[in-house]
Amino acid sequence: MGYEQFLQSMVFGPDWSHGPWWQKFWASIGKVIDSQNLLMETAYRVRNPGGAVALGYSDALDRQGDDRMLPRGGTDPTVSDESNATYAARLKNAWLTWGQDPDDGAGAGSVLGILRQLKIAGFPVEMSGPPYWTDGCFLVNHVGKIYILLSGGVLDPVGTPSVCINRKSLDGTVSGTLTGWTLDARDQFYSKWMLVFLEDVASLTNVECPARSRLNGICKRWKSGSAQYCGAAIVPSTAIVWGYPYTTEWGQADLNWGTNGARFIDPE
Amino acid sequence: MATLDDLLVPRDRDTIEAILLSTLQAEGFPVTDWYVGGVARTILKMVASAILDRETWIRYIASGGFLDLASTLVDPEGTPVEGWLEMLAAQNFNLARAPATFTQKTLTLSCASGQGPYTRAAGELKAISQTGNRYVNVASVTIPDGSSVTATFQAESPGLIIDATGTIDQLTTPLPGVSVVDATTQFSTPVTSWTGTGTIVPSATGMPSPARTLKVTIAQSGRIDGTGAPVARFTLTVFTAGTPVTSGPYDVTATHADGDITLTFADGSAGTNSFIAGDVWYVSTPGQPTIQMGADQELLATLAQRCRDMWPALSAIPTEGKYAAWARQCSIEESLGVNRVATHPSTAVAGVVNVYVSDARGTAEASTVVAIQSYIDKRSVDIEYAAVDAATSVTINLTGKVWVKRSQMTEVKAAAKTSWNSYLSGVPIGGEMPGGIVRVSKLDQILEDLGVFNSSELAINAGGTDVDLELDPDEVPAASASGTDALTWYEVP
Repeated sequence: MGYEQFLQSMVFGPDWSHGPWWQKFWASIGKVIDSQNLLMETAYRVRNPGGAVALGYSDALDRQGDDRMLPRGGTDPTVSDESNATYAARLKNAWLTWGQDPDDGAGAGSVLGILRQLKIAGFPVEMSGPPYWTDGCFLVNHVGKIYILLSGGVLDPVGTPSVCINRKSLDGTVSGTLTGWTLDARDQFYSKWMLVFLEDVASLTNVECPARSRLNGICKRWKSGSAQYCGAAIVPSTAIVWGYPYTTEWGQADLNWGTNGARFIDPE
Repeated sequence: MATLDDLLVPRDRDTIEAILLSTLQAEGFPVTDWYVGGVARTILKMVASAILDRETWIRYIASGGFLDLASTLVDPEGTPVEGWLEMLAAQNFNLARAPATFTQKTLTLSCASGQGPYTRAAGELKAISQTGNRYVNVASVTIPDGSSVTATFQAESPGLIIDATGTIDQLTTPLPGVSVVDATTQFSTPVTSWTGTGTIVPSATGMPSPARTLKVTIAQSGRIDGTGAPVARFTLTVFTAGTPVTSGPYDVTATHADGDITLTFADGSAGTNSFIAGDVWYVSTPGQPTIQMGADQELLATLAQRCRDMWPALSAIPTEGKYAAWARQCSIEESLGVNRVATHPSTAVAGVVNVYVSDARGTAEASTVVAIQSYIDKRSVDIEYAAVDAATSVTINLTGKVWVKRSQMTEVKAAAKTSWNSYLSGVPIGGEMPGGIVRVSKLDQILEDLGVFNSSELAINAGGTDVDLELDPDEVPAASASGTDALTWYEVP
């Protein structure tokens, strides 16, 4: 029973206070108190994902995301247009997102954890292939391990394909036996890694901008502690740069960063 | 669309009264005929006043579910309401707010020949620093005649106390022939995670150099003499300026040298393992007199951060956030007074993350570093580990001119120094973002807020007028002794 009914009931006050006008008076007072009670209930419910969605408090979801360190995702790194329902479901699942999902692992500190957060943020990391060199993103580490996110969000540790055997030895020569990209002058500095986007990310430029800030923020937060993020190369399939595509020949035109959209995005 | 602000901004009494009037009008009451001060309006005002508190509770309930909102909650008079975040932290994250703690220091008491010995119970000895801070012995102490002894003293008041090493040099409960000082020693008190009966004692001639931390990890259980048990083996990790170098494993022998430091090992109970695999032992040189750095009650913002820290803590693979969380939690559990932590993957050693820590002074004792190192080592994974180090302290020296009314000079100077030092004590390791800086504009703002007549040519570390000081990622600012007193202060009549 709300206050609107309670104040009109005979248990509240003597008979003389329940005449027609008195009842209207009590009903009015009760309505205002009930409206406050409703706000109190709302205040409590919006603290949780389900309540915030049900009541349409979008900004309450964003606050919950701040607390769980899971910001709202989007279709592009510069927008946060993830639906309330989807976002709320992710927030409810924060435990397994940060920890480990019993089905596929992932979690913070893992490659899959990083790629999933990038995908949620709107970065094109998922590959639609085969073939696997037209879109999406590679995560490459110094000693040649390559990881891709297949359609559907499944991680595929590609391994060390032959095209990746171009890492320098300590003496500066390319032996042809060391897999990986030369991210460090030292042979086995295994904890360095980078991203290679195979399609353009228009909003991602190598200046201070929301997309770069978001990219670097995700990489720092979700990588393992000692892993050193070295930046991201954007090499759209139309771009020609040294070493990519691997059919590129020395002397070919446009063998420069910055042409046809190829560019490098610095880490923090 | 509804927004949180609808719940966070309480309606005032006039608004509630207007809603009541509107509701009554809808029921057919002639509210426009009710004049202010009349019976009906007065009754409504009373009702509005009676239910006004509920508006505040709506805000409390909504704010109390969000870390940032709960940490900045104030009552209608502007007084902080701290219970909501404390409840949120306790119930959702199982975290208790850390109380204020006392600084503790090791003081050396020396007695001239023929003047002692003296035995004093806990609380009977009081020492005072050159800055006027008082310390009391926490346990009974006997000062031998013609010799010296170290004892633990605790500050009389909780909270951050800054006394440079060597400045606690007077007893306010004097004893003939007895002197006191908080001296640097060769080694810190070892920090151990130790189950064996064997012992390790460090020694050196003079003060060892460079300053470093030694970590002995028993790699294979056993003894030195190999009698009744195999010969034990250990690895030695030396942290110098935050860079770890591990060597070994070595057989445990009677002595092992690391530069100018000798570690003397001794077996414990005969016939069984004295050194147990997995046991670790740390010592730092030099040993600082500060055992525990006092801290104020934990800030709500810090408590909120520790709550957030629980998310990366879920991960099986430690992230930078998880290492930082461990450092913060260790500081709370062991009363270390660390209020800033920064993490970066090592550029020197693959698989290592550097963890930099600082207390409110802009530095950290070696004992603090060792305690956090030990805490993290017990929790980190095999494939990578952390190297904890004190953030590099950058002393902030100020220059500039300030004009203040003569009548306000004393209080403005004192308030400026307090506010500036307070600001510096909270600047993150690596500086404020964006840019990683110490802001000279903050000094300008402090002076302006205090009502100075004018200020000009404000500069930090001679970096130029109004130029912010950029910090490296491992650097943290530390207030100079003079602070804002170093500015040139002019009186204005």
